[in-house]
Amino acid sequence: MVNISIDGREVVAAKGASLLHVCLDNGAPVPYFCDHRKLDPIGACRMCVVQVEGQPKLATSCTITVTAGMNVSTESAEVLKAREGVLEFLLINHPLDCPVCDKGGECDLQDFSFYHGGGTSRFFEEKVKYPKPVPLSGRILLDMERCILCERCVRYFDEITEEGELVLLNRGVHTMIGTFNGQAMESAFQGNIMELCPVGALTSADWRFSARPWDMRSTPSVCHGCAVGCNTQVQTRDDRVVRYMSRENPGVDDGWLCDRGRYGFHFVNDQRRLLEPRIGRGSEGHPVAYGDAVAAVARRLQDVVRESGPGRVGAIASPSATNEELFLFQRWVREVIGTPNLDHRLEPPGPLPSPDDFRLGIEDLADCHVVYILGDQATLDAAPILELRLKKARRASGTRLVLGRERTPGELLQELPADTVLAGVIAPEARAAEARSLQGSLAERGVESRRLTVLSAANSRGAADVGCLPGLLPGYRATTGPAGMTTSEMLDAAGEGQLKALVVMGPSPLEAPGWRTQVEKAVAAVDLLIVMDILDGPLSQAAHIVLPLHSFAEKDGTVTNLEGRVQRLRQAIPPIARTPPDWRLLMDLANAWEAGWTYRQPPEVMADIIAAVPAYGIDRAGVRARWWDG
Amino acid sequence: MSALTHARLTRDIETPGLASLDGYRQWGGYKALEKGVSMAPGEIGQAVSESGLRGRGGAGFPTGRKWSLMPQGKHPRYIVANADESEPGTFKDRYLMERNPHLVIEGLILAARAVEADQAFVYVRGEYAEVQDTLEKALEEAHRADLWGDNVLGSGWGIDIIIHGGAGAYICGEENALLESLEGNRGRPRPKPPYFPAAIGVYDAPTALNNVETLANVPYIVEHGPDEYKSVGTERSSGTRMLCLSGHVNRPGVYEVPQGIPAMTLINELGGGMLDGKRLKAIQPGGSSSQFLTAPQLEDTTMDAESIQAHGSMAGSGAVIVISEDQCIVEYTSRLADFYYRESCGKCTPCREGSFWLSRVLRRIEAGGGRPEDLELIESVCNNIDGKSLCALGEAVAWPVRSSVQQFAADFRAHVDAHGCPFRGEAVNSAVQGRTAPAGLPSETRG
Repeated sequence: MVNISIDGREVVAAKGASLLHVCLDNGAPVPYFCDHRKLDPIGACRMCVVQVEGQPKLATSCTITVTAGMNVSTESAEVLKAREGVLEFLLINHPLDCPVCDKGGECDLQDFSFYHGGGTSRFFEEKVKYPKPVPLSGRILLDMERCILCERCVRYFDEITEEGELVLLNRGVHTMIGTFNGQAMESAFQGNIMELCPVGALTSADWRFSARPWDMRSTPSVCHGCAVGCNTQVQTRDDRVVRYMSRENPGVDDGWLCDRGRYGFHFVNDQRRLLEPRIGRGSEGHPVAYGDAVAAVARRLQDVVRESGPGRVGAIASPSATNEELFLFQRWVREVIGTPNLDHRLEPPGPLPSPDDFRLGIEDLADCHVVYILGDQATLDAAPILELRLKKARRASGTRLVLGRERTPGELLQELPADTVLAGVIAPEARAAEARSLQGSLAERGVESRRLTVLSAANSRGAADVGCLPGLLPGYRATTGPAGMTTSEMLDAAGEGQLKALVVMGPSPLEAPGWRTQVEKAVAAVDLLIVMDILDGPLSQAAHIVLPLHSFAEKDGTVTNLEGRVQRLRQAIPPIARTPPDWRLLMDLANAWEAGWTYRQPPEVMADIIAAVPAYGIDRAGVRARWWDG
Repeated sequence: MSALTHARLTRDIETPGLASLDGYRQWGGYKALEKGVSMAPGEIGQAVSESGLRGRGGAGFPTGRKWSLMPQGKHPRYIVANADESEPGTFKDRYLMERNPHLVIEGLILAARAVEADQAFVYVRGEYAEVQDTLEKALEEAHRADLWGDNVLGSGWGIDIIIHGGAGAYICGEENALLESLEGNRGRPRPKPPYFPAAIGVYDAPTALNNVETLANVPYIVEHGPDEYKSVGTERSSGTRMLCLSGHVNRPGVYEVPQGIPAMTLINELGGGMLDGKRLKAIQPGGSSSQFLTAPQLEDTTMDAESIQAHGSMAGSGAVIVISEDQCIVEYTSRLADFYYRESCGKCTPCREGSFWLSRVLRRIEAGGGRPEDLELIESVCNNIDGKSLCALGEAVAWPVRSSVQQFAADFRAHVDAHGCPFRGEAVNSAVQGRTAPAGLPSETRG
C-alpha cells in the first residue's frame, strides 16, 4: 500500500492499482467511458484525464498505475477544460436521439454532458451518418451514429468471453463496430454488451422501447434459468417484468448474465398463466374457489390413502420451487399424506447426491491447476456462466481446462499438469459415477480433487438438501421405513396401475422429451392426478385438480445454487394468480388434513429448515451451504 | 554534388551496382561490421551516444539514450527499423533503401549488436513494394556472405532479420502503432505510459525502434569514431542530415548536408531557388506536421533542431516543403487537414473527431462558406487536440493548422470576406469540393 494525494486529500492505495479506480473509490468521481473494471484499460476516450504533478501533459488516469507520493489533481481548471473538450468532440457526430433513444435516463454521455460539458455546440458541419439501427444479431441492435468508439463491446468479446464476436472496421471517424462478414453474433452472452455500452449504440431488441429507466422499479433477486443462480435486478414497469440487469456477485456471476437467463422471464407474463384453481379433466375442467380446491385435494387424497394405502401415492416436487416451498412439500408428502414416494429429479436416476458432489465452489475454480469438464459443452450449456468463470480462471491463474470427450480416467490423467495441487471436476448429475471414477484415479496419483455438480434446475440443490429425494430426509439423513420410488419408477408404477395418485408440483419438468411416453401412460392410467403449476399445459390439462403457482418474480423465498449457496428471491410484482403465496398454499393443503402447522412467514419455515439442515444456517468448511443475503 | 553538401550516407550513391553486395563492398561497406563484431555491445552503444546521433524519423530523440532505456538483461529483446516513411514531403529513407540498401542493413546489424537484440525486423510501408524487393535481394546476398544469420562473420554472434510490409496507414509510422501492426493487429498506438517500446515493445519485450536514416549513420560512427562524426553539424545537432527538398523550387531532391546550414542556402543554392522566380511565402521545415516558417523568419534560420525550434517550428523528418506566393495557403491547409482526418486511426476522441472537424471547417472556408468566428474556432479545436490525444498524430494536425490560421490570418479572413478564394478564379472556386454555406444563414452558433 502506498500513500498518495488526490485533490489535497491523503489516500492510501494499493501500489500498481489503476489511478482512475483509486480516484473513484476515494471520493473523486472522475468521468470515463472506455474504462471498465473488468477490461484492460486502453486510454482511448481521453475523458478520465487528470493532472499528475511533475508530468507536463494531462494523463489518462485509467492507464496510470499508482506509485508512492503521487500528487493528483482531478478538478484543476485544465482538467475541467479538457473534459469539456472531449465531450464537445464526442457530441459533434453524436445524433440528437435522446427523445427516442433507449439509453436515455441511464446514459453516461447524457450524465457527463450534464455534469462536465460546455452546454452548447459549435459544430456547424454535417454529422457522419450511418444506416441505423442494424441488427448484430436477433438480440442486439447497433446504432453506429450513437457509438462513441469506447470499444468496450469489442474488448468484452476478446477478453471476457474469448469469442471474438465483434471487430472494428475502417479507420478514423469512419470506424465502425461490426461482425465478421456481417454474420449475426452467436455468443450465449451477448446481452452483457447492452449493459456495457455507455451510450445507446447497443440496444436490446427484447427491451426496445419498453420503458424508461425512471419508470421502472428494480428488485434485487436471482435468475431462475439454471442452477447457478446469477444475481439479477428484476426490473418492472406497471407490475410487469420488462428487463433483467446484472447485479454483480463476485462469487457467482462476476457481474455477467447469460442470454438464456437474461431474456428468460417472459413466461411470467405469458397468456397461459394459470389464474385460478380448476377441477375436472380436459373439457370438463371448471374454475373453483381456492378453499374448495384445497378441500378437494385433501379429501380425494385421503380417499386414496384409505382405500389403497399411502404407498400408492406418488409425489414429484419441482426443482424450481423455493427451499421453503420444497421443505413444506416434503413435510406434507411424508408426514401428512404418509407416502415415501418423493423425488424432484428429472433425469434417469443416478446415485443419490452426497456432499462429495458439491465440494467445489465457483470461486474455487481459479484455485484449481486443472479443471476437467465431463460432458463437454452440453454440461456448460446447462450452466452457461460457468464457461465465463472457467475462462477467467484460465486467464488469471493459468488453470488448464480439459474437456472429457468420453475419455477414460487414464487418458484424462495424461492431461494433468505436472505441478497440480488441486484438480477440479465439473460433471452433470448423470455422470456422477464417471466423475467419482476420475476422482479416484486422481487420488491414486496423490492429487486432491473437488467436484462441482451441474444440476439441471434453479433449485435442484435446495430440493435435494431439504429432502425431496426417495429415502433421504432433509440434510441427507436416511428415512426409516421403505425407501420410496424415484420419478421414473413412480411414472412406470402409475402407468401400470400400481400408483393410484400422483401429485406433481410444477413448473412441469415432465414436458421434457424422452419421458413423453411414460408420462402419457401414467396420466392415462392414474386415478387421481393433482397438478400445481405456473403455466397451463398438457399435464395440467389432464389433471383432476389444478392449483396455480406463482412465478419466482412474485414471491419471496430462498433458492440454493449448485455450490450450495443459499440466495434470496425477492418479490418484484404482485401475484398474477388469485391464490395465496405457494408456501401458504402448501400449509393450507396440510392443514386441510389437520396437520396443525402454524407458519406465519417464510423465515419461520427457514428456521425449521436450519434445524434440520444446520449447514443452511452456518458456514462450514467442506459444505458450502451458506446464507447469502445479497 | 556541391561543396555545400556533405555526403557520408549518400557518397557516390548514384554509382550503378551500389545496391549489390560487391558494389557496396567496393564502396567500402561492411568494414564497420567487421570492426563491430569484435566490439562489445556496450562499446558500440557508447560510440553512438558520444556521437550525439539523434533520431532522424521526426522526434529527434538521442539514439544512444533511447537504446540505454531498454532494461538490461531482459530477453527476448528486439530491434525494429522504421521504414514506414509516410510523413508527407519525406522521401529520404526510400532513396537510401533503393540505392544503398546494404548501408541500412549494416546499420541495422550493428545496432542489433549494440542492443543485444534476439531478432531484427524491418517494417516497410506497404506502398514501398519495390523497396521491399530491393531489400530482400540485398538481405539474401548478405545472408549468404554470413553478414547476418546464426554466425555473423564467424564471430559466434547471430542475428535474424525479417522484413514486414505495412498495409497503407500513416499512423503505422508511429512507434506503437507500428509494433501493433508488426504483431498482426490493427495499427493503432498504445498509451504511453506505460507502453514505451524500449521497455514494452514487440510482444511486450524491450524493443529499440529506429528510423532507417538513423541506423544508416551507425556504420560511419563505428568505422570512423564519434569525434569524426561530430566534426560536422552543430553542437547539439551533430553529423549530417538527409534533407528532402520539395515544393516550388527548381531542384527538388534529397540533399545530405551538415546540420546547421542556413535555410536560405538550402533553398536558393542547393535547391536552385524558387520556381519561376516567384517569391517565397513559407516553408514547412520538418514535414507536413511542422509549423510554418515565413520568409522573414527564414532569414536567420539554420537547418538544425535548435534554430528551427527557436523560430517556432520543428526539425521533424527533415522534409522541407517550399511554398511560393502563388499557392493559396487556405487550400494548402485544407488538404493538410484532409490528410490527417483520413489517416487518423480513430482510437482517441480528440484526434478522431477533431481532425474531421478541422477538415470540414477548412473545406467550408475554401468553398466560400467561411464565417468570421471560424478562425477562433479552428484555433480552439487545435488547442483541444494538442496535448490531449493518445499519440503525436494529434499534434501533427493541430500544430500546422493552428500555425497556419495564426500566421496567415489575413489570407483566411480574405476568404471569409470574399466568400471564396480571392487568389484564384471563379472556375477554380466552383470546382473545389466542400460545403458551401447557404446564403443568408445566420452565423451564430447552434445551441
